[in-house]
Amino acid sequence: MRTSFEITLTTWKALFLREAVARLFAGRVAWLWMLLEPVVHITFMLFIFTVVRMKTVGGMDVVTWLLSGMLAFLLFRRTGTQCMNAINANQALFTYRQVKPIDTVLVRGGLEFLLLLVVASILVAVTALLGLATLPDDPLELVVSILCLWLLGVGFGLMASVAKEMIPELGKILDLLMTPMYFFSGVIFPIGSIPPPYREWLMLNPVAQGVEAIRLSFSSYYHAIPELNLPYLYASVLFFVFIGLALQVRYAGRVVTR
Amino acid sequence: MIVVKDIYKRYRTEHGLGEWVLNGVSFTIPPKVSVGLVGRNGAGKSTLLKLIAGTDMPTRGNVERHCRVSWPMGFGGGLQPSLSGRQNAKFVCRLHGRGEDLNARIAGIEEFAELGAYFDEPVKTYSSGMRSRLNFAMSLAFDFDVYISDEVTAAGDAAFKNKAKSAFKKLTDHASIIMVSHGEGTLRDFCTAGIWLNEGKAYWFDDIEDALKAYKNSLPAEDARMLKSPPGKNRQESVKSLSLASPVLKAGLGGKPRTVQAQHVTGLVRQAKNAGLILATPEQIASLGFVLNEGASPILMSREAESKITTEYFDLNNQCSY
Repeated sequence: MRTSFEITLTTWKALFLREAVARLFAGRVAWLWMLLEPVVHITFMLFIFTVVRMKTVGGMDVVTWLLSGMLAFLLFRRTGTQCMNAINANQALFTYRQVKPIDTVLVRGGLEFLLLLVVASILVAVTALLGLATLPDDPLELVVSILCLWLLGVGFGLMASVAKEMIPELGKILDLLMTPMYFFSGVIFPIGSIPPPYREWLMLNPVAQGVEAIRLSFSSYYHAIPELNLPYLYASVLFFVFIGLALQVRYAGRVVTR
Repeated sequence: MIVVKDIYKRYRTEHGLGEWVLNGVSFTIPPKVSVGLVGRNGAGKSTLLKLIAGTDMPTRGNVERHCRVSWPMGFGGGLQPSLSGRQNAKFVCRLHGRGEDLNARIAGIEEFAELGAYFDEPVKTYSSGMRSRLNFAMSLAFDFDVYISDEVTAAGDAAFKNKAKSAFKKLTDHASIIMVSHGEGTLRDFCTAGIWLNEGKAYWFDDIEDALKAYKNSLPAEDARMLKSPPGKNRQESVKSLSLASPVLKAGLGGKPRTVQAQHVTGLVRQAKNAGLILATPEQIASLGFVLNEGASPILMSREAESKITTEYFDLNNQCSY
């Protein structure tokens, strides 16, 4: 007889390999698109920025600013959406009682983290080699901020995946919400350029906080938005993950039942 | 040993909570005893199987498994459509912690499932028969103490059915089976004990014959209920007049009335003709004073022929439902 812990580990391993195959080799060169998405976004935005002759944002080189912000946001969005769809996509696998809904969500989160880590390392290394961007100044702060954004994504996914199963319409609304999130998180325009009362409201968004924290860790000379509040970021991470786990525990049985 | 303790189950439907499918079911399946589940369509047989296998949770009560129990095999569940048969098989091997002899097991599954080149094609391109073959082959690759089978022997063509049957027979030497089947022969072949499910309750029988008898005794009245009584007459009268007419009148598709595709009905009618049964025309039915359910094909048959056709017909029915 295997212990519960061993069973969970083997389940995660099996799910991870299955998800990785599906994610990387589902279509023709599916893995290439993963790399191209941020490249295309960044190149396009860089073109716009050069047209308006912007060299720096808040004292930070514009390439580094865009690159770090975009990768930070993608870490949240990809993890969030992949986790959100995990339960629905793996419905067939709940035939095996070892597989619990939460396993599929967590495994997808882990896979997405690894994939984006590879993509980000390639992009940062290449741009640094070309002299276009800089390497992070404060690696430790970077690690913490990355973890925060990833956990925000996982927490969101944990909540959304259950919510979507309970109320299918909610899935569509959450998908719709992801697009404005792109703007409200200060990925392509500096939130710092918005006047105070509105800026404070925008900075209530924990993803915007995370994006800004990652930028700050890239360059210590960066004039981060004054509303950047790291304790607030950590607290919202805890809140997201806690509520997400609680929902999974509470509604695990009902999600499996069809 | 599997202990089922006072379980209740109902599903959530679009109109709120559904009826109780299982209403306080308790029994203990001793080790090495193979059990057949019988009951009408919709009596909760598949639900009970899923609860025993741990695929689904009971609304109340619990199930204790003191042995290795398989997943419910047979209805093509548990396969990821976008991945190939091989990838699905690999996943299941890994899931059961069989990483070390993975290749040998995969080879075994490939050989038994007889899918040929399709083994490396996505499962969504498979026919239903191929899907259940793969599912069946996968479950045979592991040593469970109890196998859960939902109509597994009804899958595939005649050759595969025989192969599945003999593989199943070999299993029963060291393992037991909990199965749902509408084929009485299949149940008699594999099971010693039986459980009859009726109106949310489960009745345990040490002998499968007794379970089948109890199930059959409950049937005629049920069948009569499928025919809508004409306006002005109540149901009791309809049942009486039905038993007065010496040939038993059966509506074409057993259990509850449901929509079926036309080809299934004609298949059933052809089978009935081959078995030498007379088909009643709608006029004949009307002359007996019955109104036929929509989509049902009427068959007029003698009592001797009835038992014969029930088994055959149910097998056919199961192939249709895939």
